Amino acid sequence: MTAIHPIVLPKWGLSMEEGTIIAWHAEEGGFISKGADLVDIETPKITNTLEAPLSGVLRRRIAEIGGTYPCGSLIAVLADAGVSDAEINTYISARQASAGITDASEEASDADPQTLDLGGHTLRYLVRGEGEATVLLLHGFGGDLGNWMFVQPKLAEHVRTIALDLPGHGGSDKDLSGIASLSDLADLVLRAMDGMGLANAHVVGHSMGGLIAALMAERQPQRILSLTLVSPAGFGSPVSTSFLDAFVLARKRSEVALAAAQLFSDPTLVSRDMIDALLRYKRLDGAAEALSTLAELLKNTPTAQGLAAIADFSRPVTLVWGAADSIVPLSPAQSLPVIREVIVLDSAAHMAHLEAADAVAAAIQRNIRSAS
Amino acid sequence: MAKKTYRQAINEALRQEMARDADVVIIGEDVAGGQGGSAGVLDAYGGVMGVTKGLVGMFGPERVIDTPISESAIIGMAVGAANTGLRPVAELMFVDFLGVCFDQLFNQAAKVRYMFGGKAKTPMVMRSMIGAGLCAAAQHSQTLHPIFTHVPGLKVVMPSGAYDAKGLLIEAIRDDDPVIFLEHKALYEQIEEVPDEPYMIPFGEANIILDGGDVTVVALSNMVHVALAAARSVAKDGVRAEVIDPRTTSPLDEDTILESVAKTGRLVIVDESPPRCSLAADIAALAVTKAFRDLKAPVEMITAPHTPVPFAPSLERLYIPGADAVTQAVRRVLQS
Repeated sequence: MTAIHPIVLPKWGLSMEEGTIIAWHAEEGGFISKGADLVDIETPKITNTLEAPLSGVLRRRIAEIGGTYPCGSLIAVLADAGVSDAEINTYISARQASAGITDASEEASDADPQTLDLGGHTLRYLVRGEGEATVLLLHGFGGDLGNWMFVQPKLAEHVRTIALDLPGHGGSDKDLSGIASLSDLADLVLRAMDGMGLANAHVVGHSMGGLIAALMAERQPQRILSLTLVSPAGFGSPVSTSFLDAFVLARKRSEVALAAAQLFSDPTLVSRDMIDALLRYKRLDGAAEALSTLAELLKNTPTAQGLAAIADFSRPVTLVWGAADSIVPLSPAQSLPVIREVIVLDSAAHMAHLEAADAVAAAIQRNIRSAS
Repeated sequence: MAKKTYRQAINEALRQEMARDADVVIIGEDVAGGQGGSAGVLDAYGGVMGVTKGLVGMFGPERVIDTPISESAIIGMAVGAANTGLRPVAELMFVDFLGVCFDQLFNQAAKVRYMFGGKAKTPMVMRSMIGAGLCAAAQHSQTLHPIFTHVPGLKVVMPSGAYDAKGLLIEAIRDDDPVIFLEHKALYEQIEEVPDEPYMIPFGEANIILDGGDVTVVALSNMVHVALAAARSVAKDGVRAEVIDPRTTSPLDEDTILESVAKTGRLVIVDESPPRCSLAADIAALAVTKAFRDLKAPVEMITAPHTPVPFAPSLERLYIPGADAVTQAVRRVLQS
């Protein structure tokens, strides 16, 4: 390692804003191996150990024990012994100076979610970034706009992004009256685009959201600039009914944890924060009924409904799949000419946008570029 | 989602349930405030802690019913109203006053479903205030949840924070059995993220507030915050305490406690009531009868002493279990 490597306070969950340093496991000036315990950080939910992301000399411990720092703050610096102290000092001061600036600008642009009233349905959405083109992000069954927490900021560096809570989910209305099919949901999202003043958009959808995106392209193809679909339903494989049932019925923490673990190739990613957020969502009035209704719709969806919906679509379509996806397994059926690329990610299961956010963001950006 | 106080969360739960179900009514002293008094001011108080403030203006005096100072009448009226179809939420200002209305609760409310073979029910909630710390002296400072927990037929709920308070109160109001809902005086200003929408937290499901593998700390109501302070303090020495808030003492989530003890082998229980026949004793008994072979150290009970709550501030501070006592107990169980 010749470069200086920053260690920042990690963001372990959507609601995590800051963490408190409890203990350092490595001394300044000592060598630390990749994966070794580096520092204990406490959040209101959990005390966790941050491991060294790579091997090197712990040149500087910046965060003090007992101190509370925002996520993303520089807390330590790793570098080779060959890097001079002066270089380390310059690096730290430059980093801290720019952090001050980014913090301020983030506060200005990092707006809170907004709501949109569509007459009968209130939808919550989160806008990040600026640009002429807009990327609309649609989560899957049981998810919410927070599922894009790693992908959305990356996309927002280049384009305007809007992550939406679908009806029945997140901060949107839990009442699904008037929704008798996934096509109805596609119509509703198109109406939401009207409400948000979006003539057109690049649409990214995950799982059920992927199928909704495809159905939007079938109904109003001129408004959809590109489709990037992550493990979409309706592209050859049925959605696992055992997962749908387990998720709908899960009421206790342990049941929610078991269902959520099916979503990831690395089940240790199912954090306490994630389970808490799922439990909090599932406890909301109407959420259980909405999930139950949507699960039935998904079970009754023809396995190739999405493929059929984009058969005549003329703009770029990219499919992204986690190789270990057991909820909507990778299907050999995706060979339509309209599909530009199928990207299979080895290190991911159903939640590729959380497990391999960089790769998913890159795939979306490539697909958007190919559309213009 | 907004941050709300424990007081606001309870008020919101009452407001949303009253709006949702016309059978939900509130009964208690000064819950509307001033009615019939010499000033004639409506909605001046909202109860002694202002928890029901604003509700009479929204739902009227027929559903937010001010009563004379007669606890036996308040609770008896709630039991009868529940038996005949309403869903009353009665307020017993201080839990210390249960002595004058206990027959209505433990001989009537708790037994109606059982003695009528399931043909009658008592869907009522009794809200009441527990806890020391406000220098309110021996008759206004007790933490009497063990007495209710002892009675089969009563459900007993003790929220430790604003999020739990709203979800547990909505669950309590919709429950068809009598529920004792105990609010800690010291928590009314506690602030948490609380969803604007109604939600229910099921009874009998403990909350693991902090994950850890070295020692299990079970704490109730305000003692959860004492346990968390202790957990933070021992974390500096690398000790990971798992802090469990049972949320409800009846039903009690035995599984979560036993699973944690199976992992840690060490158990500290923190409870603000005196130790004899208490929840601390109950949970200690649970551990030694069902998890004896998992235990690597004697169970520690950190409780108030077996005395009345002292009035003198200096003595009251000594009476309430503190983080230092919990920290020391954690160190003791780790040594054996």
